[in-house]
Amino acid sequence: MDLFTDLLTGLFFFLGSLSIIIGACGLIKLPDVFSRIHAAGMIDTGGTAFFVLGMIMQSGWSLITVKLLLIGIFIFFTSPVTSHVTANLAREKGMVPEGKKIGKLL
Amino acid sequence: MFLAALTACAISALLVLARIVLGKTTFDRVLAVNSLGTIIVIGIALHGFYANRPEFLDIAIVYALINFIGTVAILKLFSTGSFKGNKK
Amino acid sequence: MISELIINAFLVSIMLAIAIALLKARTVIYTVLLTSAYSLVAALMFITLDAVDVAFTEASVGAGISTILFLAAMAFLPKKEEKNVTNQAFPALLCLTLGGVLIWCSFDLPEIGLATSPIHQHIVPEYILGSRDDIGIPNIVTSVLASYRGYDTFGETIVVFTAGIAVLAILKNNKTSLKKIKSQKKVAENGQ
Repeated sequence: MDLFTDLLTGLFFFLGSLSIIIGACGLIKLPDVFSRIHAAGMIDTGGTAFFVLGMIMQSGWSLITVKLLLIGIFIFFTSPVTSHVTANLAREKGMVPEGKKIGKLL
Repeated sequence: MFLAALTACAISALLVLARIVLGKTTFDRVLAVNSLGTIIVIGIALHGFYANRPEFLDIAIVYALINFIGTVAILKLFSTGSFKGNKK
Repeated sequence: MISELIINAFLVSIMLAIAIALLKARTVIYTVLLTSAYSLVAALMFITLDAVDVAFTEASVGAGISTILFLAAMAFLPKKEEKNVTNQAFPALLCLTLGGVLIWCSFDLPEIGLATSPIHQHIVPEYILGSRDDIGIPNIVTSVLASYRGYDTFGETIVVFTAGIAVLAILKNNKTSLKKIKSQKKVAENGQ
């Protein structure tokens, strides 16, 4: 059982590391704010969720689990809010996504 | 295991920091600081487990709250120009 | 042990990079953002040094309140920022000299965590031994703050509370007196 939880933790940590590194690379590589929001959302939701799940596997049932769940739920709900506010404000300030001419649609 | 995850956090923190320094517009920087905050929250929790003292999770909770408040405050100031109200 | 060293070195180098970027920063909002990022990393540094209380303070004051205060002050600044072209050689020299003197002084400090250093000899053993047996609080910092120096903390809290109430009272009075003046002016104008 111990080995099983350790393996599961390793899997979750691997997925979490993968998503935060992909998110950080996307934050560097993508061309404009609107596409970078996507990468930031990857860090916020994917990374946090997988890491919290992995740490819950390690902590068992205790107060620590509740605290971890609090962190996970809080970031899960606040990340879309910040993304939305950023995108809305960027559009309001007259920024247009790069690439195809979709500026007229907005 | 925790050390490997901390290394991943370190690499992505470096990349995000590069975006904060390089970022052309303020929105890029705000996004990157928010992501850095999330990575640091994960890092605090992981370090707590790594050092066998998971009580540090309280600070991670406080950090998640403060990070959100700070980001929204910056964007609010940027949109209205002051904290007074909803004038546009 | 070596991994702790690597983590600390990494955090310090990130903080150094942010400080160098702060030197290059030329707009106010970018500076505020970088300061926020700096205190984010500083709190992780305090956690690796096992200073939970300081990390809490850094989290709430450094990253939260001071960012918002800076921004609230920034709202009163003019939109356009002038370029600063004064000669900065003298301030740089002053900072470098001061930093060098401080580093030079730090060589005389006892090692971190050395039990025989003077600061750990005077009254600290009494606190460490007494905090569990006399008071029953596991965290020594909390027991020192709340019990051994309870009157100190009580006085500080009263001072801060009084200052807050005074500021609120002054600001509120100011607003009402302004309204009174305005209404008096209106009455006078209508009378004429």
